[in-house]
Amino acid sequence: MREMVEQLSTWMADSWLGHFMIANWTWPWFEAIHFIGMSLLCGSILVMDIRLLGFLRKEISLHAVHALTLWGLLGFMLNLLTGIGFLFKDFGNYALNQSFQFKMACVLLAGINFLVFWFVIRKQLEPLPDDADVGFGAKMVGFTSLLMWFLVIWGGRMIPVFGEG
Amino acid sequence: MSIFDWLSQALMSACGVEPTPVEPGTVLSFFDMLEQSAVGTCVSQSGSGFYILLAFHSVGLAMVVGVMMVTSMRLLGLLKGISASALPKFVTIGWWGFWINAISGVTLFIGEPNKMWANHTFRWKLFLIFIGMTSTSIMNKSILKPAAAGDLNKLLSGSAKAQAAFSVMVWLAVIITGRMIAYLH
Repeated sequence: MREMVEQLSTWMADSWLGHFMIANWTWPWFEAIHFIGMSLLCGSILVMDIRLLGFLRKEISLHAVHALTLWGLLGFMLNLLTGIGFLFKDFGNYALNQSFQFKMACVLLAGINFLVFWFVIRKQLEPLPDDADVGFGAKMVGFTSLLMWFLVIWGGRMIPVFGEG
Repeated sequence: MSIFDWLSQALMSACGVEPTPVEPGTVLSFFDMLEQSAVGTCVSQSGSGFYILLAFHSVGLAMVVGVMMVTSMRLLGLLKGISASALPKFVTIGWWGFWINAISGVTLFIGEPNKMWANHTFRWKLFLIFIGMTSTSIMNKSILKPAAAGDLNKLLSGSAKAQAAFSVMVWLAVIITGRMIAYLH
């Protein structure tokens, strides 16, 4: 397993993206964009989840919850693209880092949770009036989303504790 | 032993760190005293303590910048499904994020005050945070609260759009300077 990771890591570091990532200022700017994406994602998610959990029902319409998903996705795409850049520079260290593995597991669970929202919950919400209370399923999706994105930030910040990255 | 000494020893013992020895008669600057305090020693010497504080700092950052971006987008004419009465509440959430950041940030600063204060990018970040929170307070008082009270014309004004655009730019600059602290000394 370790040997395979090292081979892949060497191939990624030798690619054009790997070389681009070690150029002057690429890494700091990618970090800045990663944090901008995180803020956009978390701001949108926070407002969406507050509403799904049943707070500010009259102030945040269900229509706005749908619109916020697009901004959350934009933030996520910024994070995904910059995150791929980080991986190309240092895949070996990231792949074997327990905190990074934890972070990615949380991203995966948050992604599955979003798919449940998009394909199941969203259809249940569509016929409801804008200030309607949502069902238990939607509340669980909101709670899971808040918890997972908190843990994603936590896992990301703990990466240096468990190794380089 | 004073209660302060007892608390300092308890904190350092909990963090698993030793106090920094100081030669008798040495005059310490204020920043040196902070750095060698129990809190400063814990932050700088207990490997994971620094990163736990950074994690809280990131959560606070995502809260304050995230909700201010959503609020600004609403003022710029997007996300019209969010009613005016929600916007001052978002600012309150932003203040919670600010206080999480202030507490974690001051604690991180105590860990290495000499190094951080010598970094001009860090001082720029502090200045931009001051501008960001001041502009948020002005926006809240002059636009968001009157709009929440029913004066919806405030949301459509050119001033609202200008303040929203300024707010987005300032918060993006806070993030960028924050990330550049490690690279621009």
